[in-house]
Amino acid sequence: MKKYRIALKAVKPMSTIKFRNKASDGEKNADSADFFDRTADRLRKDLSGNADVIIRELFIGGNENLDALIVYLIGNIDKKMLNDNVIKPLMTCSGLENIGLSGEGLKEHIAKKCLQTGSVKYQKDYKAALQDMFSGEGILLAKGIEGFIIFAVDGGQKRQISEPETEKRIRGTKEGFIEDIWVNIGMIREFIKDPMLKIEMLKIGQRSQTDVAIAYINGLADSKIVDEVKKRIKKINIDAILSSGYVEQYIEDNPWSVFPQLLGTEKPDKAAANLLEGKLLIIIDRTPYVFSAPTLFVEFFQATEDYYEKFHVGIISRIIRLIAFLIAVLGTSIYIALTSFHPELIPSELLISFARLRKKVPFPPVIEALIMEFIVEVLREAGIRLPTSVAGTLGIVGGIILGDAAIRSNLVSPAMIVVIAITTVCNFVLPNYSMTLSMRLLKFFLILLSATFGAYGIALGLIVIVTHLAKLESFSVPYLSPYAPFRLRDMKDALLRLPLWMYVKRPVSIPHIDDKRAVNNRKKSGTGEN
Amino acid sequence: MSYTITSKQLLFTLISSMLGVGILSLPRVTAEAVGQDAWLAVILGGIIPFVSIWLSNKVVSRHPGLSFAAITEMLAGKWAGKLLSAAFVIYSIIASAAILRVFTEVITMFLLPRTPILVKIMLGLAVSAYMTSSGIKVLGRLNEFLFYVLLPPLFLSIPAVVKFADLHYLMPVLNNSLTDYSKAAFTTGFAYSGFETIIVFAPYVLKKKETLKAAVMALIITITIYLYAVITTITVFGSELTQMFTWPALRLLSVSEIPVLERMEFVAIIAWIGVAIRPASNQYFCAGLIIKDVFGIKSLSKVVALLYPIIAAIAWYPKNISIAIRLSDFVGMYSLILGTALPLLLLGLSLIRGKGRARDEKNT
Repeated sequence: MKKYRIALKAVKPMSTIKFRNKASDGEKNADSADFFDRTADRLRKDLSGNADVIIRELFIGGNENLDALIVYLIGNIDKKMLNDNVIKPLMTCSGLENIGLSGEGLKEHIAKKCLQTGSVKYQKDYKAALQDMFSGEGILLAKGIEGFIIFAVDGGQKRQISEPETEKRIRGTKEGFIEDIWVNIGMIREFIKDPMLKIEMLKIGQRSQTDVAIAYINGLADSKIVDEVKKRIKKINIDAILSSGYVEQYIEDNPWSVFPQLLGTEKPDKAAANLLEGKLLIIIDRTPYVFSAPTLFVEFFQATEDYYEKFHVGIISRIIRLIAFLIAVLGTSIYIALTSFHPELIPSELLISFARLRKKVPFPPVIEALIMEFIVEVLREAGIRLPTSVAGTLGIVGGIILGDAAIRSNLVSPAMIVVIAITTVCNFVLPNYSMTLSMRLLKFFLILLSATFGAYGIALGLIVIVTHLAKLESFSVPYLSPYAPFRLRDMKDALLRLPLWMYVKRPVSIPHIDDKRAVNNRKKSGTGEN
Repeated sequence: MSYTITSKQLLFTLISSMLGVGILSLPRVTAEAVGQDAWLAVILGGIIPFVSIWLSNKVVSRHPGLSFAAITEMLAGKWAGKLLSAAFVIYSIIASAAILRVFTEVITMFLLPRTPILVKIMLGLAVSAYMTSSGIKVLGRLNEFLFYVLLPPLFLSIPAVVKFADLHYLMPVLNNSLTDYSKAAFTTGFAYSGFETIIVFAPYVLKKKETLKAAVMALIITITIYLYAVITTITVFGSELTQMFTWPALRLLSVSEIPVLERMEFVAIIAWIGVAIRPASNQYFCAGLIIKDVFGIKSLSKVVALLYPIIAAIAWYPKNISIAIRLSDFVGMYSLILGTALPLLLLGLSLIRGKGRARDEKNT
């Protein structure tokens, strides 16, 4: 018995999987009936052991001379559609007598009169056809046609479009991306109905054959960046892409940096907004996260509500977010530096009450801080794993009872609990989850520095962080722009959020082609319309 | 030269090469020389840097596309050129060390009195080395970004000025002899030292025509900030009291009281760390870059690592603060001599060679 060999070396792409060809030299001369039998045998052998692959035999139009096979994956297709729009019309197909029983005529007839599906294509290559079948399409092999007819009946179960847990909004769309790439692309398309919005599909992962789409607006996005993204994605050589994180870690500029260098979102409106700034999107099948590139540091401080609500509110919430970011990163280390190195900086009344509270605590502030930070991190980690109902209880037990007990047993001082609680809450003010993860690393870095060198350590640590940020680039765009290099025009939408009608041009930080974004209809025209 | 900086980045790089440690002691130094006319010394002190900037720009613009090391080598010949480069490298190393040492002294006085000096120097220098090894582009961005960090301390001084400033402290004007003023102008040397780095940075500017304008702007901004520091300090303390403080500009901040924080100057010091580390990094970078170019070494970080122990040792060498201040005065004099003599020599050589070349071209 002949077995087909899959080259088991993980790095061999699927297209190189070798199928043993029975009679490669005689193929050209063999007639089409022979082709059908041969290919049917080969299919049965190659697909044996694949329980979810169904090979359905039938006669087209009830004609016993017209043997045909339909091959599909039972879990990945829409069964009702297959029965009603493929099998039924194929079996009841009429008018076959006029066209003969083979060749182009038959192919045309089946494609145009029998198959009632949205997409039908013809594929001569055996391996490519099989690949399409494994991607969820149905393939038809009929006697008299030297090749496969491939029709789209993809279906299967999909998650309902729902509001994402991590990016809840008050205004704006409640939709969030789901796992299916085509649904996601459709959602973006609903926001931008411009024919210039281009979607390019790539396949990566030799075994997973994951679809990766690059979306950009032609004539708006910088073509150099588009090419660079494509080049980097094509360079990925891996057996399987299981999540968008795989792609992210392969294509980001500095893999050693703790900062996220691609902004991921679950919201189609945010993705569309990024497209309109001249960025491009990387959409990966099986992940509800869509990345935009290039990414700037400021983007992690921008939330969609800033733009949907009035600009006054936007400015205030941006400033609050920046302060919260600074507190989350610096709060604990400043407390340590003040209490253990520079107590003269604390106003005297506060210092006295601090000293009274700290009197019974046997540890230096660093140890106190590390104990509490550890507890908070553990609670957070456990909170992610536990079901929602239990997580609430854990929060009460961990947060309230443990905190109270820690103070009563003089493990930590109440002031430290306040500091830790504030920094922990501030950590979640940023609209992006990846950045909050990076922030806690920065926090520990600064805690250690402040414990050894006080305020000097904090200042130097901050300089190192700023230097690192200034060094980072995302697809040749400086990560820290518009701050460094300073770009005045983009300041309208960096720390501040000026009224929308003032954004007449696109931000200069992101290279783009079409500069015009809107017309400022509130500018006084001078012709006197009072 | 694969990378370039914008003229705006040159402006901020030059400002940050000059403005850093010197500003803290500048009111004392100038008040010691000419009393209440200290502000005049600041303006007069700006003349030499101005001439130097003009000369350096002339030299660089005559030889576009060449780095400093290449220009000296081309104009002065292989060995003499290397000697000129070495003079600059030695200056940059000493300047970097002196700045770092004075910086560390301020840290010792205000923040970390008991930590060993060497540890503080090594830590500060490590951060400086990290900045330096990132290259001219990132350094340009940082110089610009950290410039804005200087602004809050400047604003913090306003309450003190409003409350205590007395313009009578500046009177009478012009009460010293001409020689006193010219001497006073030289005492500002350390505060202005750093202007000579233009000859190293200018070749990297993208638009050559804007170089001079940016450099002059940088000098004007620096002079303005210095004038502000000197005038406010003297109007608040008077020229006599100003001479008593080692770093009078910092004392100014402790005068005003703001409810939340007990002592203002600490906040200023922490912000100032970001400002003061830039001149050390810029000088460090100049030394590294010239060595890299002269010996044709590919990686800047290797040179930076090599210079690290040297700068740390020089910065550690002064036994106490008065020797450290004397080292910084030496750097100030060195910078004035180097800043004028070197571009003058190069310009002279360039003119001679240029004429020779022009004649050769005519003959052939």
